[in-house]
Amino acid sequence: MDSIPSISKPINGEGKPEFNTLDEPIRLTIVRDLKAVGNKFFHVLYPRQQTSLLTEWDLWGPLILCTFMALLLQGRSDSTDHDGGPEFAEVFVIVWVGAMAVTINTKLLGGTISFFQSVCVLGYCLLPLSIALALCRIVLLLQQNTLFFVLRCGFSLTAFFWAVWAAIKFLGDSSPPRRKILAGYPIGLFYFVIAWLVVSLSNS
Amino acid sequence: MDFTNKANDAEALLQFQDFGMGSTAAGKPPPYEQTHNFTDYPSSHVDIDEDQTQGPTQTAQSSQDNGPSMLTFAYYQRYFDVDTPQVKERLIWSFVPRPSRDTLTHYIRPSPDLYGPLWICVTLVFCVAIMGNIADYLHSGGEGQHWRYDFRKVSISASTIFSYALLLPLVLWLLLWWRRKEGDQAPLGFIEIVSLYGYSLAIYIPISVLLTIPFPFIQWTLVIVGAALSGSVLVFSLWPPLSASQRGMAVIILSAVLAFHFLLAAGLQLYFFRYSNDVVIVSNSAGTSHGHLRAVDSSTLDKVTELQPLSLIRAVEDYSPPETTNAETTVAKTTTIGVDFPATAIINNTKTEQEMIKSTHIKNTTSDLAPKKNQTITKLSTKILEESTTAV
Repeated sequence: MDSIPSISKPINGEGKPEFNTLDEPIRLTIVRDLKAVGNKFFHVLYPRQQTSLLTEWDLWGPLILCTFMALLLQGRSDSTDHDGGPEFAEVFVIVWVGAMAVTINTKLLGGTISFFQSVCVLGYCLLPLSIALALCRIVLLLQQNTLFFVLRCGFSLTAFFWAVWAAIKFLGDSSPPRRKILAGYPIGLFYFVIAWLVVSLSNS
Repeated sequence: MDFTNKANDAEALLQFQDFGMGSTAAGKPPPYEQTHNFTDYPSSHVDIDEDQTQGPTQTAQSSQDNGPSMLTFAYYQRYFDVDTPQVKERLIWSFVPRPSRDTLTHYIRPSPDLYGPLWICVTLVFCVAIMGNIADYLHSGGEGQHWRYDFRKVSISASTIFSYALLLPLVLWLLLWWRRKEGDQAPLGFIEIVSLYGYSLAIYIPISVLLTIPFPFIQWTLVIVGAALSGSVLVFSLWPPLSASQRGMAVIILSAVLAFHFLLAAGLQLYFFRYSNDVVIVSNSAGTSHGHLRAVDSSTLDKVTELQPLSLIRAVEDYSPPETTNAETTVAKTTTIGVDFPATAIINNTKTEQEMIKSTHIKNTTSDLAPKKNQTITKLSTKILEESTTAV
């Protein structure tokens, strides 16, 4: 019989591809996709094996993280004292255009990774920075002084190094041997800019 | 008999061999045997304008193949064909001028790349914006309430730097192409010039980090040194192709190149890092002989926003001191005015020392306003209000 290809990953535990997922309840679909996203988050935090992010890529995780960060990072434009924070759309542009630029760079240098796999990895590795952003937001609720600023810097810096380390672990093998630094530098720059946005978050 | 045989043989040998058209395979032209094949043709000189310098005896197949078209990915891939050691080398030689071996010919020309220019420009954009914000932050004295970080610095610096890195090479290339005479050596390719310009911006990255030091003398020194170094690399690289024809024109063009390079550095420094510690007013308590002066270091306003005059008025209104001359010691927290906004603050000294301190352009006031004793605030707030409303 003709099988309708499923939308999510085709391999289930029995080793037989699951088809006909259009008939299942929506709750099941959402739960399965959320589980996949959660699984990838786990692998970003503890990078052990690469296959889950690379072979079964999806862009839900990056979208969730990007929206979350943009919501927290946007400055208030309605107040009279102009808060110079980025707009919601600016954060989106930075994240997505930045990820695309880094991916195109890797491919132009001769990398063997596909476009969406690379964007997926770069988006998922925003997770440490999102956690740092949430923590900074909590810290900002307290009274501000230099110590808390240093604390926020510390969160941001840790998250930056963690994100770069995770991304290099996933993407490192795909670039040609004599160009690893050339391919890795834009990744560092990308996460550095986002880390700077996290540090610059301020009460207004 | 022998002779005739031999003669026949000789005749057979002397017979012209007939390479009829049918004998060759598939109508291919007979192979070149007499002409020279330039096999040691320098394959490195790949120009974006094809055919200008290709040897006349390239085979027919290669002259019709212009490389991948502009719409394919592979076309751009050949401009990213660099390895890490090559990029490092090009970075170093982009600001170390060496008259004998200029950067363009020896390091960039073999394979001009776009990786360096692209990522150097992006890094410079974010570096300048971030360091400008840090300079702003440090100037306002830490996590003060009046510090606003300005994301618009990113877009402004991006437009400036990318237009410099793309428009100037375009103008230069068009100039060279237009002035090209027949028989000249091939002009520079566009990508080569973009490459050279991109790498020459590399030194501005550490300079922009150092520009956060708030002393104008150090800032100007850094700007001049950086512009001189990378500008001289530009000049040495561009001199050979430009001076092939008229020398006078070449000198003019190169001095314009150097001028623009210096302008960029100065512009970046003035726009993003120019926060002089201006003292607009001083205050004391009127009845005491030894007035104590407090140099008020105030927060800087965003130079770009048009809300500036409004918030200036608001800030002054918040802190407007009493109108009378016998004012108690008040700390009027004024706001420094941006570079383009001249304000005249006239402080009249009603005491014995009559000093008129006029600050027309705030950026020059650091040396002008030497702190003096016994100065009072007279109608300063109204004066600034008047000036700001007229300036708007």
